[in-house]
Amino acid sequence: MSHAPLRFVHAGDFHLEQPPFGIAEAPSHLREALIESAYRGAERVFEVALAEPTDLVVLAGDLLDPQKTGPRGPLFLVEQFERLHQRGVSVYWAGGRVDPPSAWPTSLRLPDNVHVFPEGGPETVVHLRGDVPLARVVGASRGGSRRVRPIDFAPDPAGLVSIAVVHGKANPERLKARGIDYWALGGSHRQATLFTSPGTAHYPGTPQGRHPDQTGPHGCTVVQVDPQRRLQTTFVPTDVLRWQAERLEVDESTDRAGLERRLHDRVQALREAHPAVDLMVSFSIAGSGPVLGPLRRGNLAAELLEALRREHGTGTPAAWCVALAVEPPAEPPAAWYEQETIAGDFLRELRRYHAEPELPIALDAFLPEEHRTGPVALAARIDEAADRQRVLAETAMLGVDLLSGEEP
Amino acid sequence: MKITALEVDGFGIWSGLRLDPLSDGLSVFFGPNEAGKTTLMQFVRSVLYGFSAERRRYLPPVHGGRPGGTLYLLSPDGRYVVRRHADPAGGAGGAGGATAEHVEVLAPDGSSHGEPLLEAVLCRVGEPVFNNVFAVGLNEVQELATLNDTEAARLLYRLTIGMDQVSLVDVMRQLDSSRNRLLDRSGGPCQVLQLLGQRDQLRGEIRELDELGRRHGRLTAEWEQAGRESARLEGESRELSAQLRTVEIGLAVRPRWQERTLLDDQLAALGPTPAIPPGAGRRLERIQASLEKRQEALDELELRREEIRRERAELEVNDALWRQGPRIEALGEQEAWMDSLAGRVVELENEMAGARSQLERHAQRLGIGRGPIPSISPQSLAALRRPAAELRRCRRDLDEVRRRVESSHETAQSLDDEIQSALESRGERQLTEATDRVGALVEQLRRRIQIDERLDEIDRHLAELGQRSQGLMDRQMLPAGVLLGLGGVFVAGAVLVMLAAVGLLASSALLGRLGWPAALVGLAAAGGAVIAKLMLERSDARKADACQRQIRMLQLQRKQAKEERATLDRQLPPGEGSLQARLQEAERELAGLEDLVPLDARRHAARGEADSAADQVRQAEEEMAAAVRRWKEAIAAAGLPKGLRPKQVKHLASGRDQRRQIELRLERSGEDLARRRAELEALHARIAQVAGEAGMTLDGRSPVEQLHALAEAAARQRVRVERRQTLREQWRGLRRQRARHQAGLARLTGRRRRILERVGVKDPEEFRQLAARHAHAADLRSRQESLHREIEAVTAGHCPVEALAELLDVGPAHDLEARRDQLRALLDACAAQLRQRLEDRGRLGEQLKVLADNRTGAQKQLDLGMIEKRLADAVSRWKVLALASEVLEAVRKNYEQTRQPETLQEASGYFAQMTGGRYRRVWTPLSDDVLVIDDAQGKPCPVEILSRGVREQLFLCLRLALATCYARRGVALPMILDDVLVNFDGQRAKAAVDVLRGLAAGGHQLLVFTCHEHIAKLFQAIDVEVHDLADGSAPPLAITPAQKPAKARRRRGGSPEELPREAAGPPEERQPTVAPPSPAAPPKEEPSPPREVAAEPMERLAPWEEDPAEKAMAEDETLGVIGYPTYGGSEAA
Repeated sequence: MSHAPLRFVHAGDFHLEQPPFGIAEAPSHLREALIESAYRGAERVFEVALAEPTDLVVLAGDLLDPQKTGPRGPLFLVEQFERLHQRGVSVYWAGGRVDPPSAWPTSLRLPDNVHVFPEGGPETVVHLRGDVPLARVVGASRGGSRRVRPIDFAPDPAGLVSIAVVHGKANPERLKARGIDYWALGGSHRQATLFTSPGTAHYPGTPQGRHPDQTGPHGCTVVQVDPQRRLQTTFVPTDVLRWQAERLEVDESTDRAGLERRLHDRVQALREAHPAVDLMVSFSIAGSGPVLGPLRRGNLAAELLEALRREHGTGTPAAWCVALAVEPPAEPPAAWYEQETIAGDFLRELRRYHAEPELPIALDAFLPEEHRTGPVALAARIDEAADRQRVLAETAMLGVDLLSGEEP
Repeated sequence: MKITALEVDGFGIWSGLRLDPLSDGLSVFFGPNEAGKTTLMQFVRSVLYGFSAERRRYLPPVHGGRPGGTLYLLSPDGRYVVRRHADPAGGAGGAGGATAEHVEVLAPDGSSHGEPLLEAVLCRVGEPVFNNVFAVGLNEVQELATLNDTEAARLLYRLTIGMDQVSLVDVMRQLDSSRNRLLDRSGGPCQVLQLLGQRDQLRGEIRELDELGRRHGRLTAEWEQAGRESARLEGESRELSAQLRTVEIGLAVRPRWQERTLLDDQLAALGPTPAIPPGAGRRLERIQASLEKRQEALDELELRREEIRRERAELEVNDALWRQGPRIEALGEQEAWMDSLAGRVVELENEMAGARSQLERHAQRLGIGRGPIPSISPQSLAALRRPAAELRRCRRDLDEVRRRVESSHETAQSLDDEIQSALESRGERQLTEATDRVGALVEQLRRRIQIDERLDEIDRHLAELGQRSQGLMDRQMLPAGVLLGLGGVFVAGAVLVMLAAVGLLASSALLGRLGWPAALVGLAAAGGAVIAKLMLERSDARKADACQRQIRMLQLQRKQAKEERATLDRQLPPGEGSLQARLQEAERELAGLEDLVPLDARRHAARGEADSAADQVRQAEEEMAAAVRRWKEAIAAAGLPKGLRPKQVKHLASGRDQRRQIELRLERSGEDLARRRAELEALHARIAQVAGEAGMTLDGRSPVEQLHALAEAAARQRVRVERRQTLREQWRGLRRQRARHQAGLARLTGRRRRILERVGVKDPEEFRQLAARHAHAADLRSRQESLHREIEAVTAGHCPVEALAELLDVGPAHDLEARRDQLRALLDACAAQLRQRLEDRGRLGEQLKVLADNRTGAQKQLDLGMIEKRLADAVSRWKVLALASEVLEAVRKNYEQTRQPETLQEASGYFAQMTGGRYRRVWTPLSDDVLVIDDAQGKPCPVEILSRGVREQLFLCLRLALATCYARRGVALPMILDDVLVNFDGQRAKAAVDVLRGLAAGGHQLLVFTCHEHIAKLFQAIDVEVHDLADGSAPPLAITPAQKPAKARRRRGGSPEELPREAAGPPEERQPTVAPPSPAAPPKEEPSPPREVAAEPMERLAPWEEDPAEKAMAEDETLGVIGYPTYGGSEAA
């Protein structure tokens, strides 16, 4: 059976209320770009929908928290929806964690081309091209007392292409069983495809990365359905600010000049590879060699960071180096433990915590009396294994630095 | 590990120094200040740990040598050799630059290794520990002396608690400081709490921003309400404005309204006018104009008809010629054929003439004139072929032989010219004579030279033989030694014989037993001596005779050679220059003449060839004559003319077919020519016939010209006929046009009549008057219409014109102005209300816009994110610092509870021994970083009360205790103590010496440097060997400084040039060269240099000069050794 071809844009997790975070400082010349990045990324999503003939746009939640964005966020969305309305593009919006329909300000009316799915139970809408049914869009917003379940979604009995729009974590096996052609999912800030057969379940990710850990390009997904109901998803980057995490290995032959040259070369290569976006680059230096000591103990890291920012951080687009940190080895080399020095004793004492993961690391004694309960005490706890591993590794290197002045 | 020997290739003031062997116990080195003691300690540090920045100032060596040296180590694993040298090209001398150095560690098995093995040999004890514990210098002592009491106590405490290069106490203090800066345990201001405050403040501000949404909602509602009210007021305002506009329009159009009313009256007064059909006037005018145009065209047609009639009458036609026209055209078409025929006739005539001339040339080539050409059969031709071939061969042979004769003559003449030219240039005429003469001259000259050489050789041999003969003559008397020896033997033999004789006579018991053998031996010896003398003299005489004979024979040969030379001199022609030069000249001339000999031979050969070829020519001529005769006979036999040559016969045979073809072609051309001429004549006859029938007389012209005249006449006749035809056609066309115009005139006249009848007038003039009335009425109506349009223009888009009638046609005019004023007042009031509402709405809109553009929330969120990141970083760092403190606290407790007591116990023993029991215990409270001393009565007292000397004793005891503790843990390294006893008085120094001796007896190796003689004597007093670094004489240690400090040398008064330097090499090889102790030599005097030791000069320093390396060393030692690295620079920042 032949169907009319269909093209739609799938996006979500705009989080207009949240500017980038996870950085300790923002350069003045990039502050504006940082503040506006979420809006510009979202705007590019709508430009993707307007760039080519598009039937509909499905938005899978967490577009904005109207309370936190203030009126600017809703007004921005209304303006973008109006642009789509003028081009005859319909919008299907399933609310997420921060944007249930009830959160939308009552004083603002959405354009007629926008359909917001209700909270709790799913609602089905048949999308028409003219008078011809083109697709069946089923969606539900989060919120309310009822939890959205996959069993609430069903394919079109007449054989129309069925699109389910929902926000949240999903069990791929349960989704597969429903026979929906395309699950337009939201709630993951990183692009991911859960499965492609039968049907497709896809997270488009957020259009704009907002944390140093959210590395690489971010954007939306363009879905093309051909007359044979075959789906093809295409990722389109929309971010205006891209986070990059770079790792450099050094060895005994690496000196300061060599490291500086490699850092500059890496940043230059990134700029050439991403010529259209501002870059926020975090460096971690790993390995061994004479340059690691000055990096950890002295001002070398700050000087290198300053040189990188001066060289690459002020251009257009800019490549701003967020941080330059030394990655401590997970555990010091075995030879270091054999030293008949205080540093050796220190490492041997610390090794007990490595050897016995259950041995608690109690640091409450170092807290002020009034903060031994409460948020500070909570933050000072070392519960997670990854945090424990990191603290132990950094402590080992700190002890070595302090007690030997240099790596043994 | 112990140092068994050391070699300094170059370091500071030392070059080529070797200390070998070193005691495995206590070694004391005595030397004055600047003798190089500290340099030696730094050398040991450098070889073990490299040329650090501080020690780089000892490089390059003051007195040269390769920078670096070697240590020979003995460890439980075996012997190791550690060599470390700085690369001179690697900037070794620069204080600030990096030093390229090379270290080599030779393992007991001889394998070569690098730093890793050295670290293992050193039990992984780092340099700071080594410098701090094992290699104690004067600087530590001086540092201690400069501290105040509290600082000294802390320093001593640190020595006990931190054997590493860092102080555990300092590190913990730094950790506490850094951690408290992040999160103060006592609750003071710190980074985390400050960030928490900022975070809470920002969160509060962000919560306040939540109100923006609600405010935006309220403002939106107000803005919409204002919009609705504005719309209502705008409606009222529009209504009032419309009414006001109507009144104002009425006032504006009132004059036009009145004028339009007047025009209505005038039209009514004009009354009704007969109707004129629309366009009737214009149609009538067009018809009238058309009638006039038609009439003019008709007149022109008549004139044209008359002209055609006249021209046609003027054109006449020749009917006879017109009838012959087709035939003339047909003949005209034959004109090309006639030209072709005429050309072909000429061509055939030329061909025939050419063929005839070709036949004539053929006959002439055969040489038979114009007569008949003889025929030749193939058989005759075959019979002629052989004599013709023979004739050709003979002629070819004759030509060849003639060419050879001519070539040989030319070659012989050319060679003859060349030889004659060469001989004339040498003044000779015959080559053979010249060659013989010059060859004889060369032989004479060579012989002459050989005679001279022979004479020289004879003279040389004569001189040698003379000398030899003189020597032999001299040896007629045997050499004194030989004579003495032989004489001695003879005398001994004689003595033996006499003794034997005496013994035999005296019957001595001893000689009696040996008398006869002795006599025999004596006789044999005496006889042998005599025989030997005679044989030697005879041998020399024979050699002298042989030599004289050779001399005489050589003299005879010399005489004969001189006679021969005189004979040759007479025979030789007179000449200049040496014999050698003349010989070379004669050899060159002979070589030139010998080069001409091959040419002469070739010349003779060419002449022989010419003579032989002349005979062949004669023979060939005879053969030629016979061949000619046979050819003539064959010609006659073939019946051909006698004079024919073979080539003519050949042409006759080959041209037979060609001639036949030419004759056939001539015959065919004749026939073709006759046919063409007949055709041409027929055509000429037809042309004449046509001309006659056309009535034209064309005599005296060629047929072609006649044909051309006929064609031109026919063409002119055709033109006339065609023109008459054209005129007839035009005549007919003009007749049709006249008929059409006449019909059109009738039709137009009818239409004009019908228009006039429809309007009801009689003629066009009456019609024009009626039309004028109609125009006036139309003008009035037009003006009326214009006014109406103007009124409509004023009211356009506002109200219909009829609506004004209520205002303008009813009531007095002043009511209109009053109405206008009233409406204006109402409109102003309404506009004011509207303006107010719009202002309200605009203000609300602005507020909404401000709210919509408000990005404070995003900015605050960004700031909050950064604060939270800093907070997380601070807490994360705090965790690391806190954990480090926790672990270090455990380490510290361990030290205090286990190692420190052990060390302090050890130190207490040394301290009690060194102070003679005055102080018996060193200890420290766990909670404080100070040392406490117990006196003999057990009374504790702080270190501050100790005198400097006692503190230094305590300092030394702690070092010794630490070294002992290390040794107990398996880390046994040699201790190097550089002037550490310098501030001890005699009693303390003696006690310290005893302690050191005891320590050495316990297995420790100690190298003690001192510049004080009394200390050296203390060591000597307890039988410890003291080595003088100044003279290096003390046994068993070999100190062989090739270049020592000038000051030391001056003190001894020795000459620096006399100081020895021992050759380099491994100690094992040099061991035998160590000089044995010399009890006779005083210890302070100049030692005698060992054998095979070369003395090298060294530079002398002026008395007031300080050694630069020693001075640098002194400055270096004030820098301190114990390092206290600060905790993380970035953290501190």
